[in-house]
Amino acid sequence: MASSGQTIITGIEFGTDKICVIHGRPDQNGNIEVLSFASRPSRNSVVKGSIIDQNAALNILKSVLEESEKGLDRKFSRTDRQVYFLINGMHVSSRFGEGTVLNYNEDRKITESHVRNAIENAKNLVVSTDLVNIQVYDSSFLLDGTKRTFNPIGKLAEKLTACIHVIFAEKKRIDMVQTILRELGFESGYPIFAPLADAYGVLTKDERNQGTLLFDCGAGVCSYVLLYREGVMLSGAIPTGVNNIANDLAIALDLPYDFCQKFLRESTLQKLRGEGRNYLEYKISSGGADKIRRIPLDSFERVMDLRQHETFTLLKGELERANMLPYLRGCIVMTGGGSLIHSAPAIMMNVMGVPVRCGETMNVTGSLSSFQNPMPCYAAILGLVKHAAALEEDSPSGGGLRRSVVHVTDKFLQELQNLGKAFKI
Amino acid sequence: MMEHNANSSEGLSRVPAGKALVVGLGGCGIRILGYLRNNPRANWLVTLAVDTDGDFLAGAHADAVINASADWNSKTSAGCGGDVIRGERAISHERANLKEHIRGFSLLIVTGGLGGGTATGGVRTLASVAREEGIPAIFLFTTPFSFEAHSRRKNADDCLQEIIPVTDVVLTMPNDLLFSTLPPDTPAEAAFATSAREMAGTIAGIASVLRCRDLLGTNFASFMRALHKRKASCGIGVGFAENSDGLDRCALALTRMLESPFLGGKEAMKRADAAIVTLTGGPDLELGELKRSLELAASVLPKTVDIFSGASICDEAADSVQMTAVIFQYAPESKPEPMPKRPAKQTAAPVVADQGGELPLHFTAASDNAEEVELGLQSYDKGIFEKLPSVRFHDEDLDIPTYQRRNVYIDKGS
Repeated sequence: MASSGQTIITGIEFGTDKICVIHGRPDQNGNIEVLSFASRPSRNSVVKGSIIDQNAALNILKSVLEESEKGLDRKFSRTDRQVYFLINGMHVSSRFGEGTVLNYNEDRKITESHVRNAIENAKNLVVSTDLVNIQVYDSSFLLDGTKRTFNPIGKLAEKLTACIHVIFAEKKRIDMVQTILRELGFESGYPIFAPLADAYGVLTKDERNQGTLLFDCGAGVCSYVLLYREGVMLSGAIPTGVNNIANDLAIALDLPYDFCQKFLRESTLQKLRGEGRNYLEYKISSGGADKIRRIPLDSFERVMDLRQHETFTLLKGELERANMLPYLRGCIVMTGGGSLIHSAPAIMMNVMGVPVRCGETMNVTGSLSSFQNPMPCYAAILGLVKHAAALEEDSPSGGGLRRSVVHVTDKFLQELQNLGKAFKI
Repeated sequence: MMEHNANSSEGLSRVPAGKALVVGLGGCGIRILGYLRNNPRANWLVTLAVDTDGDFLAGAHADAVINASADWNSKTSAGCGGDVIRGERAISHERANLKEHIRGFSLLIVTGGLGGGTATGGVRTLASVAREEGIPAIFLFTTPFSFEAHSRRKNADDCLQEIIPVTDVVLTMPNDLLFSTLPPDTPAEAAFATSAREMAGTIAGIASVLRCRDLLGTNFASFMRALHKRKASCGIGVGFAENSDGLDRCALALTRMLESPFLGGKEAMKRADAAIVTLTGGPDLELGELKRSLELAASVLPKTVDIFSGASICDEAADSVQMTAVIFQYAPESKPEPMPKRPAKQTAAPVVADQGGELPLHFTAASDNAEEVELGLQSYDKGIFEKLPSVRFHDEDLDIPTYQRRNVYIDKGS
């Protein structure tokens, strides 16, 4: 681990709902200490996880950065700081890469060089030039094309196939963020796919081993990652989020969108049900006179449940299409604002047929009072710090990533020797 | 069933402002006039209440009233007690008076509830007077609920058989259509009130279509063309939305139009043979709104439907839009020859067709698959996502509310 108190990690999230900045560092116990945190609404500069208004996003981030840096006890030069940012949205895609090497050794034992070559071959995916490879995660290996293993070194086989999970993003989206960061004085930033950051902070080691789906239900998009034996089996995104639920309510019940957002954020439905009420009374002003509309709570529930059920069914479809359902042997952990909707875990469980829980980032200390919403809303950015801390810790130079893909792959090879830490990349 | 008849009325097209008279015939007609009076979009219409019940007439909200006594001898005005003969006598007695009142108007809209005495008996006289004066007339009537007395329904049916040959356009709205939109626990009084209110909205919608200056022409001739001496049933839907309603006003207007009780629901739309769809807005109506709204409306109808599409600008409708649809289903024995079309494509874009100068636009709907048609209709109510690029996921636009794509009814409360 990098020496505590020296490595300050800056994490940035360009969320559909808010743009956040967090400064944190790993403490002596291996926990993450939050030094400061600030956020502001993204005000339509980010839609469905993607920046659509670069100038607006830049200005918002600038003010958030300034606010967050006030919380640091001393000044740090931005050029010296390692910056990580979350990426999300439909422009992020993932693919399986397979690479094969033949083993000509007399004893037929697989060595580290076989693994390295297999992974290098697997990385040679043919993808569009618009895409950039941002992360590579291990998945599994096949011995002689038939026997799946997660640590092939020392095992006997004539052919080794490496299966890796490669995450791509649109190059222009990544470049846009890098431009923003450079304008603000940073050298560059390193992208992390949001649900993987989530998973890093929220899932226990057992969960990562057993086969667990991390489902981040954000404002603009829902993203997911399936982990099995601490390897990434599947990841992706569905272009619907909490904003869609609010929009559905606004259209279905003729209510203002902002009201519906607030309705969801404050769990109003649950509160009213708790008071034994069946209607929401909505005051409208018409011609100088106030009029009360009585809207059945059942209608709210119906609209919300339909959207959630559809989203979770789409998720199940994605798993089925990739033949990944058999790997979902543990549970589903939900994070993000959508996980706070009271009915969400029950509907998810009903659709997927496995236990569901709401996740919060573990082992985080420090300045947590600046988080205004419930902690599941910040699982991604807190997980980002944990993820980044692990990357910093494991960096050969100790100075952080130089090229994420290369580094990840190198680290992956190192971790093969210690399978328990494989997921840490 | 809604019935109509169209006789030739060539030369009728545009109604000058302030020149349309709405005649409320009988108790139901007067109730409709009351709702019409409260409708700000109908304040340009002149109203005339005609009834045989003096007490009821005293509370009428109309610019003029005609008290037609059902008793020729005593001159009392206690109504005709549901007797069609007495109603007919009473109204015909006021023939000269009626002629005096309707003279000079460019359009006559007669409304009421068939099945009783005054409207059922009096409509013949009104039709006759309108024809004598050469005024185009639209007769809009409700027909009795199925649970009302059989005699009332028979009276209504008999009346329709008689007036169809002598009127320009007759549109009847079965009150039973309200069952499709009102919950069963709706109080009976509220159901009748809803019937009257919807009729008032329909009248305002049709009148404004015929009145406003048109961008894309839909006028009385379009009605005549759609009907053109064919026997048909029809449904009318009117949807209105203001800027202050939030979200997308055109999408809201379309949704509300589709929810109109007298449109007959999606089943009626599936069976339609022809349709008149118009969008009325203020000077602020945008081209994009116009195109999208009319395409959306067209997309809900089966592929084979002849759609007469129109758009109007009305200064009084500033900051608001109104979408009106009249759908027709021809009787089997009077199915028309198919109108010439350009090859249908998987798009609802307007196709300009020259149809003798009276049919400015000829739309071909996107699909003849009923399920897909429904989805296509709903798919444009996207709220905050309306102006954002569409993000499709497995060929489905997830920005469209799920309940719309699944055709789930949501109770909006009261």
